[in-house]
Amino acid sequence: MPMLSYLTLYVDRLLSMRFVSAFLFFGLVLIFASCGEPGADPAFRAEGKAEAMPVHHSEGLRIEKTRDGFLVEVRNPRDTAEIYGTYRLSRTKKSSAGGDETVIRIPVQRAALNSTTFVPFFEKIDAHGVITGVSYASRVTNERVKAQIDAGETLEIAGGDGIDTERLLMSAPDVLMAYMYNASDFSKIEDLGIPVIMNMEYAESTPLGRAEWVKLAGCLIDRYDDAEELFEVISRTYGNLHDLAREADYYPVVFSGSKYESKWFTPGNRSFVAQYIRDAGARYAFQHVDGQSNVELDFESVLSTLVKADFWGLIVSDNNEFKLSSLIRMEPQYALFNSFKKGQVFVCNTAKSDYFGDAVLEPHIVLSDLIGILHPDLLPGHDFTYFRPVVVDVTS
Amino acid sequence: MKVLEVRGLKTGYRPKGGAENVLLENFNLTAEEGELIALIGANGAGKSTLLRVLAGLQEPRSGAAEWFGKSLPKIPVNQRPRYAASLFRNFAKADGMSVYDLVALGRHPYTGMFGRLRDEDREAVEHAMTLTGISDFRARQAATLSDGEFQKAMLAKLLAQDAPLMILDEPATHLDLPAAVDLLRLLNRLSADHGKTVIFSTHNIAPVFKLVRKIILLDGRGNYASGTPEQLSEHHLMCSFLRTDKVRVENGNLIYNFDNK
Amino acid sequence: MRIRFAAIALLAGLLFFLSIFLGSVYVSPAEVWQSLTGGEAPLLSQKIVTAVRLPRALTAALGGGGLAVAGLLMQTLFRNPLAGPSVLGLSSGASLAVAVTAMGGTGLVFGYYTQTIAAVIGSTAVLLIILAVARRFADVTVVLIVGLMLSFFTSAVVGLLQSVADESSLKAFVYWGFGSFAGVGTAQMPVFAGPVIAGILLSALLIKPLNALLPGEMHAKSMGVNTGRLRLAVMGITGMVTGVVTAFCGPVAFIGLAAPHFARMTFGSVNHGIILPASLGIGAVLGLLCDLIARRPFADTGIPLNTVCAFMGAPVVIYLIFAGRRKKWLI
Repeated sequence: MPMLSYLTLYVDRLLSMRFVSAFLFFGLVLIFASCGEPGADPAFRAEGKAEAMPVHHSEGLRIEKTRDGFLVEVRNPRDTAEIYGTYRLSRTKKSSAGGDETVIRIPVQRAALNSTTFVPFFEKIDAHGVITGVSYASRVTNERVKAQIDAGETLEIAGGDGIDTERLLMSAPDVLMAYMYNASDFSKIEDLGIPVIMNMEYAESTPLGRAEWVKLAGCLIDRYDDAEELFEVISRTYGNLHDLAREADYYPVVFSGSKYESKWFTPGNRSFVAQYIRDAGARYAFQHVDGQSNVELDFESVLSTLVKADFWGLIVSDNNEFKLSSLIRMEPQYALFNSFKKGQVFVCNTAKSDYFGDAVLEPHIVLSDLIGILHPDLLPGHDFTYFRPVVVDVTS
Repeated sequence: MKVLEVRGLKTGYRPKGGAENVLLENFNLTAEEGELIALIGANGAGKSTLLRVLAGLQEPRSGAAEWFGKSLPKIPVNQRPRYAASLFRNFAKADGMSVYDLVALGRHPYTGMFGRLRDEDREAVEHAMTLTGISDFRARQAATLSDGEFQKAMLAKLLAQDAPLMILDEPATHLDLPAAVDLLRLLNRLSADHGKTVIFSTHNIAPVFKLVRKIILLDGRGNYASGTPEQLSEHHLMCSFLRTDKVRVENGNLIYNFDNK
Repeated sequence: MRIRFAAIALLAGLLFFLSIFLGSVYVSPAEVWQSLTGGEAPLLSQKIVTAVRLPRALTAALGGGGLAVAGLLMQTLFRNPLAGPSVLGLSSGASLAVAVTAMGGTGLVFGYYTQTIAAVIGSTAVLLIILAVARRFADVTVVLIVGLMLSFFTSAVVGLLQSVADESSLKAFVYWGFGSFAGVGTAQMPVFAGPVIAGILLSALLIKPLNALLPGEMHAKSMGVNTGRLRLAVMGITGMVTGVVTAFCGPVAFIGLAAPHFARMTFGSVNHGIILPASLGIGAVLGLLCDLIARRPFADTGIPLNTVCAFMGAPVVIYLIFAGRRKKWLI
């Protein structure tokens, strides 16, 4: 894991510096999962006379409706004892940052986002024109936001080593939506008078848990009901697909990950990738490997598992079409895998689909892709959006 | 006025785990204002050690030195340069320093917090450079000086310090013979005309016997002899130092036979 | 001499204003000027100038100047032209301390205060070791090798920490290691500037004893310098300044080593009364210049500060050493 994270880190950096435009990398940039108990902490709900809003799948988000807005609490989804912030979203009070409680005046008219993955949270509930700053302009795929960037209405706010404070100020946001790295320190930005609200979507353990953070954006633009409605549709569709997958008569064994040097990097059993695989009517090959994010395993000791498994799913970034032969060019030993021999490899090419953006709010579509690949009989003629079977251009 | 006084001084060293090695024991010395004293003895006889003790740069094994009637430990370290200026051989060469800056170091005891030179300091530096004959290369860097020239610059630094007590460890090192004699004359003049008390060590005993009236000889085994050249020439330590059986002084010239055995 | 000092001051001032007038967004020079002088500029421009650019320029100038002074003190104390905060491992020591607080699972918050204190302790600890070695072995080479080995050792421990650290704290540490003068905001400025300015001012009190130290420790003693106390003072100042600058700006390389050489070359002197202020000024110039280049105000993205410092610093130091050997203005 550290090796890979190092790799992705530098790749990240290279990309951000625009030294490389077309670049193929095995970014198994990873995300995490667990099947903990959903629901909010009763103690939080008991406080005050405000009405607690139901949160079904997210571990880190708690919302209360108050007389003039919302009281939002954000915790670390991986360790809910850790509170990242309490935010009073008010229609009457003035914004103020710092201190125990951050006050944010709603509805927010302008928002800067410290991650491009937050773009769909606003755009999917039709909060157009709210996004005035995004971390990396080149990574935005949403056409409307792209147009805003071209028109200079939305600014890129990422600088060499984080946030470029000058551009952030220039984007004049009412709030900065950011994700918490345990080392992050946003006090400097709060000192500039910009309230910072945490969005911990990336650390959620389930696909639906991630999608539910749309409610946070809903609170900020004061259109909670629209966000809730959207989420209801997503979770209902996801549930229906899950039920459909259960009908499958055979559960294939699926693994994910890739080889780096002598290690195999795989998502742990509590990663949300593993959750997708299970929900799609399959068995996860590394179900016994505990972990929320990537785990590094000795390649030789897991080789037999890799060889035997039925399907291999992976995330790549390739400006050209990714084919089976591309895999063999990376690592000849991949030819040993049964999944490779049978051509049962599926990929999500992040250069061609917004896996790190829109997909967060379309877990049902991701799931349908997986069912369409693993159980084509259940979804005949499925139109693939994110994951698709790899083009078989070599035979073994 | 007693400028320097020591009573019952003992110097020596103890190697790790070894027995104590006494260089000098029960040493007494009184140096008056304007006195010039030469210190002679074989290599390793403890001349430098004694001078360091007298200069307050090393603790004696017992006894204590007094400057101007004041016990040395009672004089704060940072005030000592006003009383005594000393020159030892193991100085680094200070490659990048110009001769002028080097000589100006001698004015430290008189300058303010940041070492800015005032007019009187510059005069003292000029005077010291004239006396040592180095005015012409004031701008040269120490690294470009010959050893003798550097020695002269350090002497000038000592003169610029203008302290009533001057302690010099082999100041004639690296100097050619005429320059060494010039130096001795200069020290003589400093003591006679300017009332400085000067103590220096040397191996160059012939001119010393001619020009210095008070000489101290160390034998490195705890003993010493002190007196005028005539008195010293009759002392048995002088014979053993020169490894000869007869030493005499005629018209200020030291005469002795080489022991060729 | 006055002309040369004036030139350095002018250059520093010019670069200072340049870094306030240039930034990643365009603010018209008139608005920048009004923001600086308290005139009526739009609130946004005022904020960008006073809350972002001004602290950054101040940090670059103070950080560069502080490191240069620390480098000068060390070069004199160790009688070694290659001494400097980064070469002798002080920055590595500070890095290790920061790494421990950031990734070692110490439960400490990766905040400015813990980070700063840890970095000061780290750099001072390395300095203590180097000093102990320097007292035992007069040989310059031994001291340099020990400093180099300490750097390797601390890097190894940092590497070990990195291999067990979680991704987020690792990323933060790696970014910190790139170096940046942007890490000091208005709120942190007192914590940063206080110790650095104090160190610079205190070092002015050492001008005389440091000069006396040039012809050797024995000479300093004969001039009434308490060499033990001087060593402590140098250690305290360099440890504090290097620690604080490293904590906020990352391990900034080469400025501390190169600036004193530039000063000696420009003034042809080793008198600390001249080269201490000169190193301070040249360090500030180098800090501002490296920061400007690193930011690349006309491009979209910058270059890590340490990359710039190494690009500029390494050849410059090599040149300085060669030229210095020839022209004999090394210490």
